[in-house]
Amino acid sequence: MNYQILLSQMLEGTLMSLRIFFSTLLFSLPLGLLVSLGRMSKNPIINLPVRLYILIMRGTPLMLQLLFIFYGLKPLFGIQLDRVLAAQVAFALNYAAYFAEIFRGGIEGIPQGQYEASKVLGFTRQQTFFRIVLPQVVKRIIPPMGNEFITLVKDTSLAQVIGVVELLKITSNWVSSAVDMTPFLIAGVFYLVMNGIVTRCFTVAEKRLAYYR
Amino acid sequence: MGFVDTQTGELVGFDIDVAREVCNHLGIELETQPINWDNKSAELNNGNVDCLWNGFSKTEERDREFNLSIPYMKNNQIVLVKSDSAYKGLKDLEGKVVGVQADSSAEVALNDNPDFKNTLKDVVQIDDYSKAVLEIQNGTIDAIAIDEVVARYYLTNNPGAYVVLQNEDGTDASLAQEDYVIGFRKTDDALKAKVEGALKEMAADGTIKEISEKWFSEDVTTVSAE
Repeated sequence: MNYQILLSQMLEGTLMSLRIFFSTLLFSLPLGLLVSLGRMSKNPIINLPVRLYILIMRGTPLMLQLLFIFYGLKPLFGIQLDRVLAAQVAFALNYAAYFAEIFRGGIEGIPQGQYEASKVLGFTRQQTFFRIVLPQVVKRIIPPMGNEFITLVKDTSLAQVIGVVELLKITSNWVSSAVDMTPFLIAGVFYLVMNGIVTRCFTVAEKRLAYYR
Repeated sequence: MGFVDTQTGELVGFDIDVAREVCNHLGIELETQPINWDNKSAELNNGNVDCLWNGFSKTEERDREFNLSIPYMKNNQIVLVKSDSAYKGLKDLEGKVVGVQADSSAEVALNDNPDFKNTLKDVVQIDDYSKAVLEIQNGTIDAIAIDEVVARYYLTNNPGAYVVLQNEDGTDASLAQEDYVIGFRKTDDALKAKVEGALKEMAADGTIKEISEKWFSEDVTTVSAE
């Protein structure tokens, strides 16, 4: 086995995994915030469809959603997404549902007194949300967000079911051709390094935001 | 039948060499796309790939579902065991566990041999042969029902590790003999005709024989120049 070429191909696979990771965060964090606001809306025209969306996204396997978005949209609606784009869309839609519920937990956990105090101080509703509530929400949701980010790094390996050649797929190809498990061990180290960095970022963020403690 | 060359990192194999040569004849560039084998018909019919060319055995069901090319080579379904095991023939596997790739023609061949299959303790579906090879090494299965051409790759790359079960007369025991074909979309006669034309040219000028000898040390192709 030529380890130099193995490692360079695994790095290429890692870049693909990271591409899915970052695009998912970029789209699912804002989308998740919108969804959480819709979920808390008292208007059933907004509330009910949003609840259905969250039910579907959390209630069906991400692997099934990937298969549906890449293979199912063409026969149903005539839309064929590019392989990588299909993975990015599926991940963003799926993670937005989880992020939405985390945001909702954070927002609903803010005591009513904060709203009352803002009102007394003359803040508008928008000002109250963005300057009083949201900063506190961010602090509170850091631990569950850390969970999701770490899961996302590992979930990128699911993209191989629609033929996206990411880190684990490249590794399996080498394992099968060489009949040698070593590449699997190396892949484990790659994922650990990525999640080590994610964990470190969250620890730092948590410390920085703990300025009142 | 594509493998990673563990020295160069390139995807290699008999089918890939033949496909590349066909593309050279047609003046186009070969683009290989690894797919999940379970999703092959969606990949083809949605237009993500233009043909399925990967040790694709001809079966009646596939003939209905796909537009199949002329057969380009013969293949046998055989049974592979570890060379240090006591198994010599199909009979020795009575009460043993055999692994097979899910949705493969080896699985069909097993089902078509109920006399053999019923003597087995269990048939384990594994999602690809590479994992089956790992299972046989770990002892979770005793044998693999596998395409002969795929088996040859493992036999060549791990000399002495595996043997093929044999008939009493010393020939390889075959569960089924079949033809390899290339699968096109039902509506795509044009590409099929072009590829078949190029295969015939390669049979006439001997290039397909050369590729076969490079991979299998003999000519296993069945394309006639006519």
